[in-house]
Amino acid sequence: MKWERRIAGLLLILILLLVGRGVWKVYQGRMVPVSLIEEGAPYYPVYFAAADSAHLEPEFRPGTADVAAVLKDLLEGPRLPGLAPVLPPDVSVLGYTQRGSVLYVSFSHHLRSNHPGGSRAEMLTVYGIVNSLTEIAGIERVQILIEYEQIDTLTGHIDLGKPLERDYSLLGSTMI
Amino acid sequence: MKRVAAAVLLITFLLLLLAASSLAVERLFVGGIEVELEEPLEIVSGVILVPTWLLEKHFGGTVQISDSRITAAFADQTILMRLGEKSALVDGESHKLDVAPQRRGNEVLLPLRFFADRLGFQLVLEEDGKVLRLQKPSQVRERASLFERLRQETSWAEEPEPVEPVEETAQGLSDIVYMGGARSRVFIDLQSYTGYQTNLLTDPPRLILDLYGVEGGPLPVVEVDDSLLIRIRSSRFDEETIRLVFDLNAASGYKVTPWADRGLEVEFNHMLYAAGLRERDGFIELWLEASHPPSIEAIYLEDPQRLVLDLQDTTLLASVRELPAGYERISRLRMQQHSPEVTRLVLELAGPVTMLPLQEAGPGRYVIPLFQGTAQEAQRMFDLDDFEPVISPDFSDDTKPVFGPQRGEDGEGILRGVIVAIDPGHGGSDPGTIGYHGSFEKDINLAISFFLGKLLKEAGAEVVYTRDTDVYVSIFERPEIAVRAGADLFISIHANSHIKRGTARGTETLYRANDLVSQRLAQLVQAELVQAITLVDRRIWGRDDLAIFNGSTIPAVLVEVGFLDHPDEEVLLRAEGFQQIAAEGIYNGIERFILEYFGKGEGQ
Ligand SMILES: [Zn+2]
Repeated sequence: MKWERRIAGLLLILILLLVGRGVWKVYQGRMVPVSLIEEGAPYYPVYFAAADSAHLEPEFRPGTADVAAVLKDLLEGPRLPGLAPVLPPDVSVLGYTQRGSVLYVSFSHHLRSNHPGGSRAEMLTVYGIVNSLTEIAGIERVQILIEYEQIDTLTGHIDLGKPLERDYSLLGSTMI
Repeated sequence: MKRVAAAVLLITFLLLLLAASSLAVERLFVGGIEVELEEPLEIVSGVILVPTWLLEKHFGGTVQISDSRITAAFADQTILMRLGEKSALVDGESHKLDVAPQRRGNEVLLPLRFFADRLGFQLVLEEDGKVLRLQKPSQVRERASLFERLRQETSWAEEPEPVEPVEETAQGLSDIVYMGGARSRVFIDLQSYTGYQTNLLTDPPRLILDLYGVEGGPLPVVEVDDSLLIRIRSSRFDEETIRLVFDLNAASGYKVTPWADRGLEVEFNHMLYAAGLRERDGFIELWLEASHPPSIEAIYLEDPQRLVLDLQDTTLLASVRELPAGYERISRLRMQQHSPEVTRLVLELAGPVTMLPLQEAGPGRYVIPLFQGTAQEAQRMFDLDDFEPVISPDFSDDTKPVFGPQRGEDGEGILRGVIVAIDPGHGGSDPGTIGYHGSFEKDINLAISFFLGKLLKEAGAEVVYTRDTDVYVSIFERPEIAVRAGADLFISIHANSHIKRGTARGTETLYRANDLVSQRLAQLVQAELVQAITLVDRRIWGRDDLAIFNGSTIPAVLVEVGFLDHPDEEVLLRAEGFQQIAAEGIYNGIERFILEYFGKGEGQ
């Protein structure tokens, strides 16, 4: 048992080293790690808070994006070390609906009541959601609702009274 | 055969009767707090049934019944049932019920265990099923429930009376203390909390105060019954939230003040019941019926000429809001709730009027004599030595109001003629982000804003604050205030937080995207601020999604001075010296921008 564990540990370290060295892919003009993806297989990005504490950074998941999968990924949080979740603890998704190219997603009240506040944290939460969901074919804008209600703002900075487009300015990264 | 059938029926009936009389829960505790039951809870086929009000009051749900359809909505789930049907639908999934919802007179009874399971409560029956306890077995409450068990074992044997529930909730809401006074002050003793939100409702009048991040149970009802406050109720709203409800006689304004080390203080406004004008002894008198001698701030405004009296911390309850007055120099009295804390009385004037000090004219009645003339005329006429008008327009040298906003009359200021709107972020029920050690962003924003305002005024600029007290102003109202004041610049002051608390540091400035003027203002403010306070330079960010930018075209920036969720930066942000230096940095940026953009202030 002990030996097996050691071998498993060594293998894990080897894998982490490989990941760290970078199995890289070019995505939207930037080099990003795609450690979790088989070469050639389909994958989609989910955005989490980057280690530079300013930007969003994609983590790639195998498969084809759909709303349920992306929301599940966001709720689950990142798998790569260094990234942080964009949703506060205990949030759940109450439901979502699509009208044309606009997706309406209702979160539980925890999205607000457990949110730390601050404009940077608010930006990361809002566009972590919006940027991830607008990766799905056919979705161009996303409106965030709380307990099925339209809200003015999440923590007092961003106007959430209307659907939002993806934010490219938050995608700049220190990864390159 | 008939006899046997009759006997069986009788025995069944007797058994049912026996079951009904012996199986009933007489006392119910939710999270350690006893719930008042008007009638014992019924047990049918071993399932405890509860009336809908109990779910609403003690589990934070809303239950609607139309025809046979029952919709119970809770914070994170909606449960559908039908009268007489043994199944429930939760978020689209069907569940089996042991006993169907049923009617009893006007009430509808629902199976308690199903709701308790869905909401994460454990049911514990004691004393042959006469006492029922509902508890949440989450890890944080492990200690509390152990304590609860010990308490039960020791105290139940000695005295059957339930023990005061206060000790048990020491981890959360420890006490609600009514302190009284003219403003019905109440102190909420909290061990710790992460935030709060208020909501004033009118029908019936009540103030809802939700306390976030509070563990433990609610407290018994605090009966007050003073002129405003009837009682204070508390209940657990969800796993993180305790909800306090202040039942009121009138929907009065209020103020919530967090105490430095723990707890919150709630104060209600004074009330203005009625006001009017009358003539007496050559004076016009403005009379007021109020719950307390009002504290008044008065200013003169021109075009049209009017005298504005702001009654501080006062809620307007008068039903008549506008009174025409046929006096020589006073043509009309208007009243309005200017902000949640200020009642504004406006006297429309047709000439100089001098306001004399407030006098008490009986219990709850106050008068302010108004002399139809200047202060000098009043003095001459009454030959008063120590005559001190509260306010009077100085019409002697020019027609400019002297009690209007500061206009940098010294004429020396480098920024003379410039109007700057300062927007201290958040306020009132919105504390903004909460610091690592618990300070509120709104307080720090306001402090830095005042330092900045002082520097700007000293340089001759006119300053307009979107708020200058701890009051909630919406992000849509804020730019409107700046537009109305004709502001040249909009400077919003905030402190930041990262989603992963405590991991980010530094200063950043946001500006209206695709607006080169705002961008330049942001560059200069950011550069000067970083130079002054030497925090990490997180650069400037163009944003097209901030309501405070989109509500006007005034060059606008939002300065995030530092990260309040970072322990080191919180220490700095709380320090007055640092606030002053930050204000100086921002000021230097503004000054550079004005000199560069407008060439110079009008004063030069
Ligand atoms: Zn803020």
